[in-house]
Amino acid sequence: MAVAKIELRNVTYLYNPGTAFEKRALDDVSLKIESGEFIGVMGRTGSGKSTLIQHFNALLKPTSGMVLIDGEDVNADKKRLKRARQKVGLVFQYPEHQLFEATTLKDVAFGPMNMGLSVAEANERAERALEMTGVEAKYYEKSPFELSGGQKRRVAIAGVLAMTPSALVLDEPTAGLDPRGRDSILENICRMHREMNITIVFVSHSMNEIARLCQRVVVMDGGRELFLGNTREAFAKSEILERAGLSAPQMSQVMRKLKEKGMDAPIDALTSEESALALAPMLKKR
Amino acid sequence: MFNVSIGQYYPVDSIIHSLDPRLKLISAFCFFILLFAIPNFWGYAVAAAFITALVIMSRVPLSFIFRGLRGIFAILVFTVIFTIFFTPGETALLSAGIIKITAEGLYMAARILTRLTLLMLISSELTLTTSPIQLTDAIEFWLKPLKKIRVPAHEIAMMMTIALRFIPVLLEETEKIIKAQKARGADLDTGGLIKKAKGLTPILVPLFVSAFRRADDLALAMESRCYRGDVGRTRMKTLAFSKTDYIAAAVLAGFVILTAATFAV
Ligand SMILES: Nc1ncnc2c1ncn2[C@@H]1O[C@H](COP(=O)(O)OP(=O)(O)OP(=O)(O)O)[C@@H](O)[C@H]1O
Ligand SMILES: [Mg+2]
Repeated sequence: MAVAKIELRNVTYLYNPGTAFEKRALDDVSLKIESGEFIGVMGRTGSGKSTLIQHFNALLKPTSGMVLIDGEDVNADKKRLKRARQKVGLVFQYPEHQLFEATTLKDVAFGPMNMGLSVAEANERAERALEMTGVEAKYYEKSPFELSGGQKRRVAIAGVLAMTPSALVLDEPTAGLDPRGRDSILENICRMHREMNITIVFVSHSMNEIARLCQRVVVMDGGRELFLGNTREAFAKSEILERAGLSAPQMSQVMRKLKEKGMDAPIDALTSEESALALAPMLKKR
Repeated sequence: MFNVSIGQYYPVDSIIHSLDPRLKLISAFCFFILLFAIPNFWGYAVAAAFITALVIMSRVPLSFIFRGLRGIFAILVFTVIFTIFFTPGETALLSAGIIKITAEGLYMAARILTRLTLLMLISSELTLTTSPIQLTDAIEFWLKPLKKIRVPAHEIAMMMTIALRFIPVLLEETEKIIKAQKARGADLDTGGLIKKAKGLTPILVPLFVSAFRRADDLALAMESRCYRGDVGRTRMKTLAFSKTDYIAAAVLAGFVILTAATFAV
């Protein structure tokens, strides 16, 4: 499968320019997302995360600056724009609100059909995508409106995945789900990353999710890119989190408390497994 | 994406914005009637001067006002052309076959053009400077006397408030759905009429579903806060006339008298 590199050069975006409602949602953002990486986007409400990711597949055109996918300017012409939309799949917040077809399978096949595939091919891709997102075959011919919230969300994600993008951008894919639904969707996303070898851009309000899944993160604040780099580094620098109005993931908080109490705890540990491994020898020594 | 400035509130601080909505509504109403009654040029001159003053005082940029009127522009042009060619009259200025341009026709067209422009200006001035909520409050106030003949004034106002309140929400929702379907490769801009109409299904179905979901949620929320219509309901913000409102009312009365005086000229 093709690889997708996403690059933004000095992108600024204004909503409603030239009116009383003008809003600078992105301010001179430059970043590079390598192919095949799992990158997180975080920041407080209104910091511009959703605006940022809509530039990745040319749904929004920068007021100034440039968006490059695999080195091509996506807004240069219609052909490139179309290609960008196929290469970079975007799953919006609450994507289940966009279902419309009579059956689940048809809804998922909507994207592939738009790419000009035959019905048989489109259905085949839809089935593969549904399988990948963990929707059971018995639901394929059911109306998507009859499914549960979590299942609807999987169908909606499959709808984007069925276009076989080489990068998948997900805007808070776990918002409003119960813990079990959350975990299993995350697991599915990890599986796509692993098995299909696609780039994942993951927007989340949950520091724990980001800490667990992402190698690198972008931290947004007031439309500006506050930090781009290693997840570990981001969570170890408390001043970054503080400025962005975020709190460290639970594990970092626990480790920091232990350190304050005089223990040589690893404050840059991101998951419970990691800290357990580091702490176990110390506890044994006692 | 959606430029619907008619009926859109433009939030800035100005004297006009701060006036009592009841006064603004009744003034606009008086103005409509007056515009149709004006018999001569001087009346229009006074009216135009008055509206110009209003527009300046309201601090809404001219470009914003006219952008909203773009949609009605075609109707305006059509009406004027129609009037010029099809008004019967004595003094023919130009005639070619059945087409005849008369002095009466030109005069009539100028009059209609002025009248319609002023009408549109005054109504957009009203909606640009008055928030929808204030406007419905005013409507409810003026409809109250009709309650005696069983007109459900409160319910009408509530329905309007809700409808107005949800227009931006639905527009936003539409935009979001369009984007989501575009992300799935939906092509909404090209193709013939039938293809375009078919392309609307992926937009309209989710839109209706979400509209019904919202309506349900809202009904539930209102009911669980014991909303049961007008009975025994008091207001959180009661409208009250301020000093500026009295002055404005006086200015308005002066304007009406002045215009009426021009009738006699
Ligand atoms: N369609 C729009 N029109 C005008 N302003 C907008 C629009 N969408 C977003 N904004 C503004 O742009 C800024 C960034 O919004 P954005 O949706 O990108 O934030 P976000 O980081 O995704 O927030 P959240 O975490 O709540 O999803 C906000 O201040 C918001 O009010
Ligand atoms: Mg968002």
